Amino acid sequence: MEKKTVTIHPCIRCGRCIRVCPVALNPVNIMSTMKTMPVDRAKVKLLNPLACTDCQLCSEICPSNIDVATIVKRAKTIAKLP
Amino acid sequence: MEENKIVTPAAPASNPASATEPEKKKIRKQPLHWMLIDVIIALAPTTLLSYLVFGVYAIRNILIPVAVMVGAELIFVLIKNRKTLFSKDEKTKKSFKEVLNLTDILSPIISGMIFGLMTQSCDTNPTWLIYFILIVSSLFGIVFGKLVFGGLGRNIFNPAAVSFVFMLICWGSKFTGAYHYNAWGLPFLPEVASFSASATPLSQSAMTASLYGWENIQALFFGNVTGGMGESCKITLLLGLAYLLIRKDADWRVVVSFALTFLAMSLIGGLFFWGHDSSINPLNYTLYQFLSGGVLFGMAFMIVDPVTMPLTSPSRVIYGMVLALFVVFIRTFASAPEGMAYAILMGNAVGCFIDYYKWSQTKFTWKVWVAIACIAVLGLGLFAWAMNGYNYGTTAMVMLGGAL
Repeated sequence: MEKKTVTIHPCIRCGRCIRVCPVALNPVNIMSTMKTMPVDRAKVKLLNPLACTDCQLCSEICPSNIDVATIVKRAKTIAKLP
Repeated sequence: MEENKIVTPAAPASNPASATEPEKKKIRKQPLHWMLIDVIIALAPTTLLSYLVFGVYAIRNILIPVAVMVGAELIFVLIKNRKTLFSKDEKTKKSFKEVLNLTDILSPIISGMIFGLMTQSCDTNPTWLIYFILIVSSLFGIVFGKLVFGGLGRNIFNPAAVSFVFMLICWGSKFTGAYHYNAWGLPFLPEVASFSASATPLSQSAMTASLYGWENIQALFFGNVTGGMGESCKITLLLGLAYLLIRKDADWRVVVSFALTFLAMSLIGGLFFWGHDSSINPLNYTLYQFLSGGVLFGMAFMIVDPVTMPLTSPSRVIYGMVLALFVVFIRTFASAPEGMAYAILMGNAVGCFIDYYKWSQTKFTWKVWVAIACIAVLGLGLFAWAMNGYNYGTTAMVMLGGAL
């Protein structure tokens, strides 16, 4: 398989992932919540990652090359926990 | 370590729910380093004009902050990656070139350029003090405005604004030397307008009707006035802003909401001044306020900084309005004639509050419109109430040390 090197930069909070999201999620807030240790589950649920359709547009548009969709997917898993 | 190089498969994983290829093709992905290069390109006309008008003094005021800020950032990268750089294990050890990103250099260049363009080209007393001021202010701004928060993307405050306000507070009264306008002696440059003999045109009495003449507004637009180097000619600033908006590096929402609120509030101020002195034209007063000082410079290059502004579109509209309220209130009622840098720092602090996840909305819902209407009514009402109790008999725009 063809491989390419991608440099990941810090999130500069440009908000493009928010504007491109078809279900009006806030992936930047979800990412910052997922970075905390331990993860605030109540906050994750409030940010509603379960609405994510996994379209990956947020990862596509991110100028910092962050794989936003994967982090939102992890948040979905946490939000599903009872 | 977040800034690392990873190897990923070129083709995205197939997913039945993922966006279709045409949808993905519509997205114009812009790498981070290109966003930063765009800002440098947008700043280029203003920098070039400063060089033409202020000569070597412009080079001095821009190059010193750029060099100091880049140096501080490189030391920060060294400290941040010390474990990798000085690792005894040859497998994990990396060279400085490997850990250094292009963005680590471009970002402080922008901050340095913005800070340099905000400064004046006049001498200090003693003359050598300007070098000390520029070095210490730049260092303070980059360290306490950015690096202590963790570097690019994590800072709350704009580093250039921090540098400028630090300089203003500590050494504002030291800028008493000659103002180096037309340092190369170019024949086609007009003379400095006579109305702006002081450090900034804004340090004149607000009740002087002759100040709002059409010639003075033209002088403010074309830049033959005293003040910060980058704030002089508005044509280059508008060019830079247009470029950033076209390239979508600047969010038009914050620019439009800031400009509209500022113009509306200035018009209200102008109407109050017109009520007390009918020779003051409220429209000219509004234009004078909009074109003087650092409003356009801040609007073009500072408030649109994505790192220090709120995330969502509705929050950005509110942020622009709040910034405009701060600027007009500081300019009209505070002892500092220039309020832009202070307002930006105050706005940066309020930005986190606007963006709080419990009430921040991603779309323009009715709640957002109610919030925007409340802020507009409250802000304009408070300003009108304050203007009603304004002491029109005295020199309103007092001239204190912070007249830069």
